[in-house]
Amino acid sequence: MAKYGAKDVGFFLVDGYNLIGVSTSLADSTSAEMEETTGLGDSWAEQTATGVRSAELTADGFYDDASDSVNAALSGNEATSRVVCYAYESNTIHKAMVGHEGTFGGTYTRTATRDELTKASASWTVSGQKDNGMIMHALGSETATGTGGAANNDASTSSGAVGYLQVTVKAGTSPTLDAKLRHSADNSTYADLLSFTQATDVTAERVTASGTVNQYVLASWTHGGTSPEFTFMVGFARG
Amino acid sequence: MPKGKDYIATTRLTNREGDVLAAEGQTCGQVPDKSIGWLSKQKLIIPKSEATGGRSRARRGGD
Repeated sequence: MAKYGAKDVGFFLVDGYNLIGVSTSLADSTSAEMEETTGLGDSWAEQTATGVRSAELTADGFYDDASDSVNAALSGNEATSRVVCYAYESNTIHKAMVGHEGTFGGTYTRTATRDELTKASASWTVSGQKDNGMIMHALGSETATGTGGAANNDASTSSGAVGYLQVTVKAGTSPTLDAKLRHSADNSTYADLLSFTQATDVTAERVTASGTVNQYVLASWTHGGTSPEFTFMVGFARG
Repeated sequence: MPKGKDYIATTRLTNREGDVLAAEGQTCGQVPDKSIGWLSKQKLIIPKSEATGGRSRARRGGD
């Protein structure tokens, strides 16, 4: 076990915008919906879990009007579903990451205060599930087709999987990026587990697969176009 | 031990580096023998006899 601090936050990605440099705090919470089941004759109140969980995410930081920063990412998109990923334990392959599906930026607030830099804060309501997964390609630049290291889960699982792709920078002439997650029972022969939509620009996507997910999983990516370069992150969570 | 050449891939199969061992519908001659067991169990490959039989039945059904 290890402790982590603010310096260990590896990335904070909202639909391909990396907001880590303008963020000063990031908080996520998951709660279980409860219903009071206190009956006649009970002397103490009772609560019973309904089986439904919900997630929320809040972030504070500095207002920045750069085209790839917080204002462009969040302003005017309060009612739009976003793909959000962040990492508390560093931007390192096989370290933990968190992804959210159906994340709506319910509130985006800009605050100007005398003698201070203007701040921006956002809170998101998550419509759907929060995925606790791992980084399969750390956020970084690639200029050629490649394969990441395999993650060994020690056993297969049977409840499907979720994959996240966040592309933050692209360069080159007509560049394309085809990213996949592949899985294997023996770390020798691999089958495709899930494929992301071909990326040609800054983008983000969450993709699901059902059924068996074998013991070993890795990410691979194929570049196309002339002098392609993409900065991207691939995440993965078992169901 | 079962041999890859006796099987047809139902999905794309690759090695760890991403080189294609068998595309969907291709014979699995390049797939390591040690992988045949789990691939067959998960129906990622099927015996050639099943694949051929399936195509024959399909042709007969279309007549």
